[in-house]
Amino acid sequence: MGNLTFKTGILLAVSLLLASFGQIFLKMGLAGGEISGSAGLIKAFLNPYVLLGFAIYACSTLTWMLLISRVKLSVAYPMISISYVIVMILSALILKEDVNWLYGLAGLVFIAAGVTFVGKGMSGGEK
Amino acid sequence: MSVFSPMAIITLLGFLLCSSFGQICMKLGMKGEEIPIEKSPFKTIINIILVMLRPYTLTGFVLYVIGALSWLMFLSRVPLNVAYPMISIGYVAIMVLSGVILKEKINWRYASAALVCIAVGVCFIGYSLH
Repeated sequence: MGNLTFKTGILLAVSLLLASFGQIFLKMGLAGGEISGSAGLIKAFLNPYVLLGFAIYACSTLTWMLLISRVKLSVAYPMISISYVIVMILSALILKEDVNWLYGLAGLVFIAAGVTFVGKGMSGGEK
Repeated sequence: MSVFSPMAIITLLGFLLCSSFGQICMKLGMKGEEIPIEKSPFKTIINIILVMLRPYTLTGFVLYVIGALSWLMFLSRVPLNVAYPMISIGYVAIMVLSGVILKEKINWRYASAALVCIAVGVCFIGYSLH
């Protein structure tokens, strides 16, 4: 279990980008509005964008597993915060969401500290 | 005071509970053993499938699917830039459950710090939605 290298850095970048774009596609497929009822849920699930989103998300999970089998959790976990920033930027650029940057980025700073602590606290057995 | 609609809160809680307990169930299904890697990839896949068919692992997968559907319902109600950071609540939940249910070694001082930071961060994100 080591620190980030060039190879694992690429693995990390791929995993974070896939996770972010997966969510963007999910949201694009949900343009129809609030889902209610099981029929609406099935219809939403079978939307091509939603299916693509889940497929990309699955790929992200696989690359993440490859990553954390090579890199310490205390190193990998703080990196998750990068995907929050990517998603916030992509939400504004691609989905044209009304992003409140002041509150949004302030929140992400705290969350970044939080996931860093999660990584540290869960690597109890690691050196 | 609440920025999310009741249905948004219910679907978010559904996602967080199902995906966290799903992970715990999958880990319980591993019975504390490593899945053996054989010389033939075919045998290794059989090993993985056998583990997947254990009751705990199957329950974990079912919970995971319900969690994904809850996430869709939540995401259809809230903008993505606000919804996505809420996933971080799940990390703290899994950490606490790993310590309590799986008896894994957790540094509780870090866990408390994580809980506080993520709670504050999530509040900020929530308030960014007016």
